[in-house]
Amino acid sequence: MNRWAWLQKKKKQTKNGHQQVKTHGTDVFFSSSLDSNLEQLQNILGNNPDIAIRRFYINVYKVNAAVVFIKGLADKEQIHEQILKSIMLELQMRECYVKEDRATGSDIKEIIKDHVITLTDVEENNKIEDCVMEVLNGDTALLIDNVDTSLLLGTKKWPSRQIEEPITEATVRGAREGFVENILVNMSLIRKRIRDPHLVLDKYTIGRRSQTPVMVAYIKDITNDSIIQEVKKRLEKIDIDQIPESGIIEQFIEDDFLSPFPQLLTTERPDKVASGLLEGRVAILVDGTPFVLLLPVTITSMLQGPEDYYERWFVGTLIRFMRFGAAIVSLFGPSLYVALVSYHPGLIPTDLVISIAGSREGVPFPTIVEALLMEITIEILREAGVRLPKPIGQTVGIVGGLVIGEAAVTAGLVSPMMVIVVAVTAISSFSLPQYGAAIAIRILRFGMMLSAAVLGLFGIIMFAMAITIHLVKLKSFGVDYTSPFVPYQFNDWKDAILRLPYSVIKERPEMLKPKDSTRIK
Amino acid sequence: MRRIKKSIMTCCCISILFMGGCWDRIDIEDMGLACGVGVDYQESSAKRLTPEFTIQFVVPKVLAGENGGGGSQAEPFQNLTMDESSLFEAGREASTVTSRSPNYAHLKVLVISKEAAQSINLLQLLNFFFRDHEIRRTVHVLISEEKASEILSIKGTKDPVPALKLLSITENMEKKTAKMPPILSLGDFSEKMSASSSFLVQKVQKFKEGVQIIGAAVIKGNTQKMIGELNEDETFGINCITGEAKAGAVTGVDKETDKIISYEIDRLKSSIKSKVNGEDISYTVNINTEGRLSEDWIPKSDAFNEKFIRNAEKQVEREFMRLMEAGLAKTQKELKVDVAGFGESLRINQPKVWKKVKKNWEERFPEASIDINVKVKIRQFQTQGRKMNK
Amino acid sequence: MNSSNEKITFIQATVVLTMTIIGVGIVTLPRVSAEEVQTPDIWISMILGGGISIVVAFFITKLCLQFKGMTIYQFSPILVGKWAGFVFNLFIIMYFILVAGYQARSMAEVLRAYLLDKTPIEVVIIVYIAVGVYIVISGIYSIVKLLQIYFPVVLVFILLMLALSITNVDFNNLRPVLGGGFIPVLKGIKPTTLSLAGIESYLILMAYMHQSKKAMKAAAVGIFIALFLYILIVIAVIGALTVDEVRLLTWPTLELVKSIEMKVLLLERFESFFIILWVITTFTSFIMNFHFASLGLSQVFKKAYKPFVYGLIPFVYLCAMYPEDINGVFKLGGYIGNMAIVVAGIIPILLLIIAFIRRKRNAKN
Repeated sequence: MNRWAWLQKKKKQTKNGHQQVKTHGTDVFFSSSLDSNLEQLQNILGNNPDIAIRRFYINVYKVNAAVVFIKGLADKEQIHEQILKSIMLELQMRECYVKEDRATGSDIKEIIKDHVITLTDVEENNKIEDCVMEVLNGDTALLIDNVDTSLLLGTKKWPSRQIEEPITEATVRGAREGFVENILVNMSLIRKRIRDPHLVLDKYTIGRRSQTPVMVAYIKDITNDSIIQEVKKRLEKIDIDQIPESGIIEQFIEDDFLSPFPQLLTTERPDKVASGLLEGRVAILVDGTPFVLLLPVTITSMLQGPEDYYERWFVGTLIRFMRFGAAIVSLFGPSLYVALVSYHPGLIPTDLVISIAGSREGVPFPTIVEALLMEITIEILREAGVRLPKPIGQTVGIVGGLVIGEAAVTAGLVSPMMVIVVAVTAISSFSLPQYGAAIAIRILRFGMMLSAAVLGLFGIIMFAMAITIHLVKLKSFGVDYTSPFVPYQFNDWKDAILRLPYSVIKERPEMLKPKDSTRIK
Repeated sequence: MRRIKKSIMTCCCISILFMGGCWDRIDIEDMGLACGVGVDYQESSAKRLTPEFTIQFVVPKVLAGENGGGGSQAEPFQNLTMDESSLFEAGREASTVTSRSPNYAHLKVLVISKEAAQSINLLQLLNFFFRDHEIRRTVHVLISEEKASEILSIKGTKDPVPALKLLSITENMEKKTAKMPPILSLGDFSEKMSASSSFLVQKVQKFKEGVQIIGAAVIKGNTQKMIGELNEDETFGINCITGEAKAGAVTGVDKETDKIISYEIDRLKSSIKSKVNGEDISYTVNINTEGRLSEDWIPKSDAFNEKFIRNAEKQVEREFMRLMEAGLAKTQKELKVDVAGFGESLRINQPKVWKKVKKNWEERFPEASIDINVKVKIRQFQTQGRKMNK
Repeated sequence: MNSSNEKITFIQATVVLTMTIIGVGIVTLPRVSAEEVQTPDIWISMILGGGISIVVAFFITKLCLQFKGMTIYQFSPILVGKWAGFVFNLFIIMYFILVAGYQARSMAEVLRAYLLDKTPIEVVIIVYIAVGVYIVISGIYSIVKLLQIYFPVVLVFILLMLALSITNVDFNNLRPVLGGGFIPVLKGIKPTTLSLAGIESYLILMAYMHQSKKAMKAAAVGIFIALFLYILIVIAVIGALTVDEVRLLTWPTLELVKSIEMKVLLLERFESFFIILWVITTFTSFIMNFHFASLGLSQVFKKAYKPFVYGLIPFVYLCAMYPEDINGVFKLGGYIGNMAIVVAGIIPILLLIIAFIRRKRNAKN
């Protein structure tokens, strides 16, 4: 828990700074004068071109009024139809609602709120600061002369991308919907899948300046309270100016920042989040990013893809086996090659020894240098391919993979065997469904190679042991990272490396200690 | 912050530890892959008997580049002959000649020449082989009629490396023939030696252009030297008694027509039963074998007829008896060694008697009477029963 | 860091005991026992030895049940007085340090003999201890979880090794049963029982157990699993190599493994798997003993646990480096065996008798 103490200390230092920044409008209330109110707002919001203040006159009551909104964030259509038109035109026509000429300000406010405005979200607010916040969120503030509160009208219409197929987690079978950058849409995507009143979405606003909306989603009567409490506690500790992406939150709330393993799952798929929630996990949605965080995570989640569950059970099981094998190959592949070739040639079959020795004849580098060279090249290639536009990316892949590989072999810089090992390793690491997990394995692979280069097989064993020790010590929000394998939770093994038929997996994962564990009755 | 510092410190410490690292690293292409070793006897004026070692290395470059090559073919192997008193010394001496010092992890075959096996104590000679951690217990041991260095330089047409070729011939024992004793690995060698019992070793000799593994050399447990050899028939007989003859052909002669009948062993089981009567030890060997009729030269043979089959079985049985008696006569009476596991049977079934006779077993063994019963069962005669219709 | 609600469960206790017992014995046991017994009846001695271990386990659990939630370091001063208890505890701690060093050194010796010829043994041991410290520092619950990971690995590898060597095993080598009578079997009881040393870990472990009443059952199951694996190994080694040959070999089990050749596998040779198995089995025993030693010091001196872990590193290292050669290592193994008799046998029984007398006296008063 040291690292949290450290985090707290840091927070204390920034707290003071925070207070200073916030000076504008601490608990400043609206006055009853429209002009002064507008002046206040103008002061806070500045003279920016995207801020619209539209003054108008309510003829029936003979008062001045104004709406304040941000162009682009608020829906102009709605402001026009439901607010301005209603107040300025329809109010006059509806004789029945007109009271005496000398109606008080609060009467006017009530009438407008209850009878005139045809929007769903209408809220009263008397603090200037809150009003500003909501306006910045896309709401429209309606200010009326002689009224010392503002009406906040829900006209949010944030610019949003169309819902598209998730790019990073494409599946052959499964929903084609992916999250978008708009948290409101994302919320709806989840709600659409879990029509359960127990689904709770707790709202947080994180980021002193960005004021990013963050939602913590969980199902009240499934998810274990201690996990929820832990998440909230950690979220509340975050004090940063801006949250550009959920990754920032991930880094603030993860258990161990020195671990290469991802301690939160990121996903673009609403179906994955929904089933995660129903397993008893907590999801964190952040505005501005399609990546939703799912926690707690255990080692099994690193090898699971949504398709495992959509396909029939043995397909799912076999694919998982394959992934498990791929993970092992991609972790141990090159290091085993290095250890065997340069330390223990006695352990390789004789025919293979002869062909490896023959192919290595004339290669100027020791095996480890050769392996590192190739691995680093592959990493660079991968990086280059990711950043480039798609068509060019493919070209780079082909040029890099085929041409350089072929040329290096013919030039005698590397042995063909090494190319095979590196290629198999790279392909294996692509087959892992979790990007974070694949990265962790890639990092560890280099450590493994170096230890194999120094101590051979013993180095590999010791490094692998150090990894298992690290995993054993690691926890994700109070859940052992190694569960359900260790401590043994035999019930969960049905859905760990295996994926047994649904008729067998009747319970939610025991490791998450759900309040309600029956999944199938 | 403390954790970061701590982990950086640990990383530094560990990397300092490894600065001078890679002690054992030797890349695969930089070592000489020894695949065969030959031991020869060398006449010398020195007091000690000096063996002469031949180490055979594979040249992977030639082997791996075979299909691409063409042009002047280099030999895919290299033989180095060193006259040193031990293999260990020879290996080190080899490092003065070749750039690649020998690595024995892939040693497959050990060939000892007859001369050497007869005159040098094998337990002492082979000590390095038993002790070195690189050499595996599965190395096959052969005794050669000619000089081992000669045998190791005869190239096969299909297997370009002599040692690897020898290796695959030795493995035929299990599937194709019983004219050689079972494969004797270095491990078995050591086991037999440690129990000081006698045993058979496959014997290799020149055959026209190539080599042939046939017959057996007999090593006596007490003296740890080779004392004699068995020809192919005697070897076959001993293999039947031990039950090792799992495959192979026996050719009997039909008494009436004096034509041959060939029988192929599919299954063979033997049991040695010991009987102790006071001081007398006697044995009954029961052999049951099943197989097929693979050839006969009898003009009017009729395999559809039960009688013919029974007769054929009898003829084959006779041949079996002949082979085994020949084997026993040679080993029990002439060489006076127990290579067929008679002592073993006594050890297991009559441990108390064994304890008494253990010390001078091979002196007692020639006196033991041995009865042999053979039962041949022809299970099938394959696709043709008759040669012609009557 | 340990939340106090964590407790060791029945399964975990079993696993810990099995993994503590299985250690250096997998390679040395066949030779040591063959040297004593000289007939193939070692497996009978093993069964007898297992029986003795279970009796010892019974005494130890009985003793610990008197002091729930306390380790021997905490209750021995209560039972026999401050100073005597201190001496007892120091002796036990010494024992654990020596065992840890012995495990590390044996591991390194085998590694030197088969894998890393020229790598200085110091480096191997330092790396080994460093990784050990990484886990020992985080306390018993993490260690237990680690052992739970390794348990199936060890189980699978041992069984795989035995399955692959089955073709080499000639059951005639195991016959005749009791050919030399019962005396050789009795001779073998001491080494075989000592190979099952590790039960003394219950003196400490029981304090952390969830249901300490089930401890006896866990001990019996743990001993049984270890015994079963050991017997299988002994049978395979003797069956494949003969008793006479086993007596000649430094590491008989490894020689057995070396004679396995699988043509079908990519790794035709099995040593690599065995070396993994070997490092893991010694490592588990090593960390348990290391942990017990440092826990003992922290409880005896009533100070924090972590500094003692770091403080013990040089001592464990020195113990590991103390034997000059391989014979020295075997000799150290012999001494440790004799110490084990005291730690697992004499001390618990003595304490149990004292506890018994005290209770009688209290009842009278």
